[in-house]
Amino acid sequence: MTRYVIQRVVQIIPMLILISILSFVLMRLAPGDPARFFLDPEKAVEPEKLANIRRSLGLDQPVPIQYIRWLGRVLQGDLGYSFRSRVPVAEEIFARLPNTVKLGLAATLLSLIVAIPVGTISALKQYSIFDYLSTLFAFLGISMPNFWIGLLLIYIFVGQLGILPAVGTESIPAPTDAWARFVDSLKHYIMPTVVLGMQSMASWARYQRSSLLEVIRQDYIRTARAKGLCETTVLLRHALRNALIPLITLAMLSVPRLLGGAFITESIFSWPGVGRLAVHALYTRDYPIIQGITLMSAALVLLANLLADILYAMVDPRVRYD
Amino acid sequence: MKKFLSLTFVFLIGVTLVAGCATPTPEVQVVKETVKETVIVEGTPQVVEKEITKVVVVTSTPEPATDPRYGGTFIAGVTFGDPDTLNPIDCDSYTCGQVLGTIFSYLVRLGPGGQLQPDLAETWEFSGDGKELTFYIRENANWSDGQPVTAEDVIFTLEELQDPDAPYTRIHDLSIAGEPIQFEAVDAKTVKFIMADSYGPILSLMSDMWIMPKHLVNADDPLAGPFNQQPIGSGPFKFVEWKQGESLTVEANEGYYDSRPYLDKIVFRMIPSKEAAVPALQSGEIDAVEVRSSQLPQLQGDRNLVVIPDPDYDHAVQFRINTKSPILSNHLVRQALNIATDREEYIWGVWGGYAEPSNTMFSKAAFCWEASEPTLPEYDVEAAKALLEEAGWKDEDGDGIREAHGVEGLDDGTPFSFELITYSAARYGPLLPIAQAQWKKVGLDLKIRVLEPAAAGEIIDAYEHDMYAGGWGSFGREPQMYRGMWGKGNTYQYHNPKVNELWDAGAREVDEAKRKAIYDEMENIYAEELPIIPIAFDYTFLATRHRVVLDEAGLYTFGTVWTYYSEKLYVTQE
Repeated sequence: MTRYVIQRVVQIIPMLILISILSFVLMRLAPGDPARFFLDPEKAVEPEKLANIRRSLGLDQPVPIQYIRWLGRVLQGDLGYSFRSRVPVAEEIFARLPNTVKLGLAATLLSLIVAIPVGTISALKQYSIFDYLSTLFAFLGISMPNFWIGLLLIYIFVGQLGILPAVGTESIPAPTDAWARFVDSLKHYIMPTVVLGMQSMASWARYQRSSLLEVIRQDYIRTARAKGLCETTVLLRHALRNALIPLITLAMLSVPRLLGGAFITESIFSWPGVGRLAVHALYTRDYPIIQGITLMSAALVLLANLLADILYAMVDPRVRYD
Repeated sequence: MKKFLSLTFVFLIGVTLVAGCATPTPEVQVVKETVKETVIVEGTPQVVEKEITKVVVVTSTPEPATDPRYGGTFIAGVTFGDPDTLNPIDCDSYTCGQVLGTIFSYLVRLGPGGQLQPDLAETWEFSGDGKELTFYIRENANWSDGQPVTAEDVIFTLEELQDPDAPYTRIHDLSIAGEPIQFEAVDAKTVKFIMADSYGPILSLMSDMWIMPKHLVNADDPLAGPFNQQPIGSGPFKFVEWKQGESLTVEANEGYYDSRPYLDKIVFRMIPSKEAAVPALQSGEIDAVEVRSSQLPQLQGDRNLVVIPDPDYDHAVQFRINTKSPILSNHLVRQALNIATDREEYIWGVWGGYAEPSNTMFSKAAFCWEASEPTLPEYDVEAAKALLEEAGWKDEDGDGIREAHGVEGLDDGTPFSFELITYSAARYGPLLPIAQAQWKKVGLDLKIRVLEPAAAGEIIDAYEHDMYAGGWGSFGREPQMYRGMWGKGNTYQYHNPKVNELWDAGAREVDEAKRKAIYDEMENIYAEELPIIPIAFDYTFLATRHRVVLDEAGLYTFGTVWTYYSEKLYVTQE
C-alpha cells in the first residue's frame, strides 16, 4: 500500500508539468494581448506604448523561453507576479483562498446534509410521492443553470423581499455584536451556498438513491434480516454504510473542483474568492495568475483523487492496491 | 398524483407572477416635443416645424430638507471590475479612477460647467508669450502622512509621466513643438513649466494628472512597492483598507487643505454582476450605482431611489472605419453609409430613447462643439444609393446586393459586403443588427460579429477589420484629449497631413476663440471624409438612494461626483 501511495505521489509531478505546459500554450494561443489591457480599449493604441508594456511583462521573449523561466521560478517556490497588480501571484491567491474554501465546504456540507436523507428515504420508499417529488426537484436542480438560479434568487430575496444581502461575505458596516455578526455572515452565505451546491445536491441525492437501492437487494442484507436484526440496525449499520462509500468518494472528488473556484457563483454574488480572481484574470489575460490558479487546481485535483483512492481502500476491504 | 402535480405547478406559476409584478408609476418619462427649427433649404432659410422626441427625465426628487451634515458612511456600488492597482500613475480604468479621485488631487480640477478650478494649485499665471506657466501650490496642502505637498512632488510626477519607455507614458501630452516640457522648482511651493511654444491644452491636461508624493514612490520603478496597494494622497479622503475583490474603504482626511469632507467614510463595493447591482441598491446594501437605460424599468416606481441622468454628453458611440479596407477606402461609400443611417432607429432600438443623435467627432462636452455645425445629414436612402452608383457599386444581377463595376482595387463583380464587429456585446452589440437591416436597403450585405474585447482587440490592432462599433468618452472640455484617438497607430488608418497640422495648431494656440475656429475646420474635414460615422451620445444614469445628496447646485456626472467633489457628498441619515 505504501509503495502504491509513493508511486502515485511521484506520478503527480510529471502530470503537473504537462498540465502547466498545456495551459501556458493554450493561453498564448487564445486571441488577445495582455498588454492591450493596460490601455483603455476605447482609445487608440500607440504601437510603441504597446511594445513597452509587452517588454515589461516579459512577453517579447519566445514562448518556450517564457515557459522555462516560469518553471524555474516555480521550482524555487515563486509563482511570479500578476501582470495587472504586480502583487505576487501566491499572495493574490492565498488572500482569496479562505473565502473560496469556506464556500466550497459549506456547499459540500449542505449537499451532503440534503442528499443523504433525501436519497435514502427515496430509496426506501421507492415510487412514493416523496420519491416522485424528490426526483422532480433533483432534475430541476441538475438542469437549471446556476447563474440563472442565482439571479432569480437575488431578484426575489434581495430586490423584492429585501431579507437577504446580494453582495459579499459580510455587511458594511459589519455588526459589532458577535451573535449579530454570525447571523449576518450566515445571511451572506445562504444564497451562494445553495446556488453552488444545487447541482451536487440534486445529483448526489439521485446517486444515493440508486446506490442504496442496489445495496438493499444484496444477499447480505437478506441475511442480516434473517438473523433477526431490527430494521433500523440493518439499515444503518449495514446498508447505509455500504451505500455511502461511492457517495463519499464522489463528494471528496468534488471538493477540489470547488476549491478551484466557483467562477460563476462567485461572480454573481460578488464573493471575493479564487473564482472571481480567475474570471478577472482570464478577462484581462493576466497569464501569471491564470497559470498559478491552474497549477493549484490541478495539484488539488490530483491529490484529492489520491486521497479518495486511499480512503476507498481503507473503507472497503475488497479493494487492494499491490 | 396528477392533482398534486397540477397544484404544485399552479403554485410555482403564482410565485413567479407575484415576483414579476411591477408598480405602475414611471420615474423616468419620455416626452415628445414639437420644436420649430430653422432649416436651410436651397439657400433660403425656412422655418420648418419638426417633431423632435426629447427625453425628459422626471424623477421625484424631494428637495433635501436637511442642511449638509457631517458624518456617516456612503456605500458606492462599482460594477466596472476590480481596480487592479491603486497607483495613480498606472490608473487607466474607470474603477480605479473613481477610487483614486477621492484620495488624490490635481493641480487644477474641472468644476461645474467644465470650468477649471484650483485644486492643489491656488493660483497660476502664464508668462506674456505663453511659454511659461507658473503654479503656486497651497501652503496648507499636505499628504495624509503629514508631509507638505511641494513643487518637487509635482516635478517628480510629471517627469515620470514623461518617461517614453514606461507603460504609463504621457510624453506626447507633456511635449509641445517636439520638445518635452521642462520643469523648475522656483521654491518649495512654486513650480514653473517651461515650454518650447505656447500650449493651449496644458491647463486641461493638469486636470487629468494626479500628483504623487515623491518621498513615498520608488523612483526606479514607480509601479513596485507598497504604495501600489496602500496609496497616500492629498485628497479629501485617505485610504484605509482594501479587501481584494470585495470592498475598498477610504475615510475622511482630517488634514485636507479645504474643510473636512462631510462623510466619515466611503466604501466602494465591487459588484461584478450588473444584474445583482440593482437589487443590492433596492435593498439598501449600496447607496448608489451607475445604471444603463436598459435597467431603468427595474427601478420604476421605487420611491426610495433617485435617478440622475448624465448631463454632460461626454460619451459618444460611433462606427469606426478602417479607411484602408478595400471596400471602404472610397469616401463616397462612407458618405453613402452615413446618409443611409437612420439615427432615430438606433436611439429607440438600442437605448430606448435615452440618447441623442450625433454627427460630430468631438462630443458635446468639448468647448469647441457647436449645435448647428456641421449639420446632421438627413436620412436619405435614395441619395445614398446615388452616391454608391457614382462610386461604382451597382446591382446588375438584381439580387439586391451591389457588385463592384469599375472600383479601384477590386475585381468587377466583387459583392458589396464587409464585416462589422464590436468588442462589447452588452454595450454595442445591439447596434449591429440595426446596421445590417438599414444598410441592406442600399444594397449592402453586411456581416456582423460580436467579439470579446481581447479577441476584437487583436483583429483591430492588426488592421484586419473593416468597421467596428465602439464608443469613447469622458474626455472633458479639452479637444486635445481626443488627439490620442487620431495618433500614428490609429485604428482607422487615417493619416491626413492637413488634420495633423490643425491638431498641432490647436495645441499651440492659447486663445479659446481662435482654437475653436481651428477645431471647427477640423470637424468639417472629418464630416467630409468620415473615418468614423458618429451615431449618438448615449446617456448613463446614476441611481442613488434618497439619503445621498451632493451639496452643490446642480448635479454632476457620476464620474465627476467621485473624482472631483467627493468632499461635497453627504448622507441625510446614518
